[in-house]
Amino acid sequence: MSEYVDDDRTMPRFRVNRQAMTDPAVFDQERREIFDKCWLYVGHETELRKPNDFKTRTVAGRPVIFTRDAKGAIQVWINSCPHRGAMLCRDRVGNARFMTCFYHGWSFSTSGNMVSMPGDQSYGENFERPNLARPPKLESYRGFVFVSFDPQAPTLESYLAGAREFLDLVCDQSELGMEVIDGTHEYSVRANWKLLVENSFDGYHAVTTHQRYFEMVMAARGPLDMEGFYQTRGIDLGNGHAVVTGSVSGGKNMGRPLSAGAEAEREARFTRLAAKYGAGWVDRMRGTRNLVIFPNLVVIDLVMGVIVRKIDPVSESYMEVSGWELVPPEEGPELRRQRLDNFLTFWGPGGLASPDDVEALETCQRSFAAQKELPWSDISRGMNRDVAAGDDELQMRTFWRHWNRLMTGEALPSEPHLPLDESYTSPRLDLAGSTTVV
Amino acid sequence: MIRIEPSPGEVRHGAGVLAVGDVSLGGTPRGVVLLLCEPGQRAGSAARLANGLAEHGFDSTIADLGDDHDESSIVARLGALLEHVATRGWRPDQAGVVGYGPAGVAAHVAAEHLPVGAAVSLANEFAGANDSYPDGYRPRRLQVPWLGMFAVPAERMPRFARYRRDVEQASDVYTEVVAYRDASPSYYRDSTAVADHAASFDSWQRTIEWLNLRVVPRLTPLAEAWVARHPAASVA
Repeated sequence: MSEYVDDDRTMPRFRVNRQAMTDPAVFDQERREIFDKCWLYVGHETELRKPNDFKTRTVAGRPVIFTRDAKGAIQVWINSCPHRGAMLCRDRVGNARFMTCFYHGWSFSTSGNMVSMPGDQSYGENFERPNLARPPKLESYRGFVFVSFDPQAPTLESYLAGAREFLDLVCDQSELGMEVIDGTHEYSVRANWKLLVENSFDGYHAVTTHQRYFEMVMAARGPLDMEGFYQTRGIDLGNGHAVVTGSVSGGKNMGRPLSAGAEAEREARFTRLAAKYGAGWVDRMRGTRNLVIFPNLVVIDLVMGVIVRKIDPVSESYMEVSGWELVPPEEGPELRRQRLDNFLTFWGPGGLASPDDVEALETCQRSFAAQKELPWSDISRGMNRDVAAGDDELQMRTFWRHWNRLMTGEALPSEPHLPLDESYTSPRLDLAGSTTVV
Repeated sequence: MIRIEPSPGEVRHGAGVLAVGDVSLGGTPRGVVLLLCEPGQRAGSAARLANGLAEHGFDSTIADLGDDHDESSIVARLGALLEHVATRGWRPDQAGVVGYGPAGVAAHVAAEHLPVGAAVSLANEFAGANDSYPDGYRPRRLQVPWLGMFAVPAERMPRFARYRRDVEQASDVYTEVVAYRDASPSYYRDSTAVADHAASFDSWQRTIEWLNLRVVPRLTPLAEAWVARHPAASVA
């Protein structure tokens, strides 16, 4: 048995040793075995609208430049001058075809090529002029751009496995292609990064931790639709990815109600999409989903907004979090205003949800100081059932089993559950050709 | 301060002749700037600006385009200027076009029609009737990144915000428009007036940064030899 995961199928019980959240050696090993090997989210193509737009951010602890080069191709470069290491680009966002290191003046283009080095005659004609370094793998799926620092990584599509279908359910919500709007939520949490992964698809905590939020929803809408809470499922998507997904009625428990005009606009779009993709697919689309793509990308679509969340571990007890809002660009200003209002009310750093979650996770991390007396965290909920509900913890166990396999080599079998019905499986159709495309 | 006196010359275009002043640097200059000056300033303020560009490694050719604002005429004269700097080895994408005052329109036109590296307009006042654009500055589908700077009276700031949006949406390339609120129309000349002094400093900094970030540098002989041996290492 792994020292980190106790997967007891007879009781049944699933536990995670809190050392996994506190030990710097575990964190160092995660860097090597997970973040140096998995596909990692960098950003969305729509964040770079014009040639030579760039954003700087951190991926797997490395500073990178996320850019669209002069020819329009998406590129990711290590943000470090190959000369002596200074950060080449110190702006968070901008547009530049050429970037010059402020230390010694070496300059490079957004296509990664060296352009100039002051006084190059002092290096000689055979001196090998270095270009910018890059992650060995760069691919995107429907606008979501990923890199891998492992030259042997599988293709992104095969890595995403069943998560692709749930990205499709998000991306298909626009007839023009979903886009990230300007603005980023950035905050830090004094807790281990995996605690926020768990929290991001933890249905069990919602009503207790976010009581204030649901009081607001009830004040705006009336009683909650409990049926919506029951019609949720946790699904293992393979490769450590998992989702909690719910029905249309579950979405009605989230956010202030839309105005009649905004609701009509939204419904009209879904009607057009149903004609294109089939009613079953669009019914799923109108539901909810909290998706984790292993290890650190979260996409949450709770009807009132789609958040793309990137979790960056900094140490075993500290993480930085970035969140972006993904929207259909064709929606009108009033629907957009109400979407953003709901988004900020729930997800904003000053909203009714994120601060509660941060507080919960930080208290977990502080309490892990009592690891000698309380070495294990329990994630067993729903192991004894044939159907994994959204407030069960299958999705977290899925994450942890994959984490455990990468960290220790121990392969734990997935859990047997009854097949999902069509509410959770209806495929996307191409009604023009009447062929299944998913 | 003028340390390098521009060399006078002439550039023929169509049926006319354009008087120019050239500043050519030794070594491997960073790029070249077509410096389109205010009327009558070719040997005055423009010479000082050309010296300022030289401090940042840029060759320059100063030209006074006068009062002819016909777009095809502007394009023809700018084309002739590009041919003129080509005789010094400059490709179009190694050239920036910077227009001061009324000549700012020509820099804007250049960004639409010519494959230069970058264009900058230090325009005068953001004028024009309500719901119209300033003369010569309608949003265009540009092919070259353009920086437009304007003196904007406070009451026109809302209209300027709409203009910024329209300019941004009109082009596939990157653009920026900057408002100097309540600065005088000739803010780019230094002044003891606080708003103008700040605008003069800021507009010059923005101009140099815009050029450095976008004008394709001339390669040194060793770099050219390197690219010849490694074709994949092109600047693009």
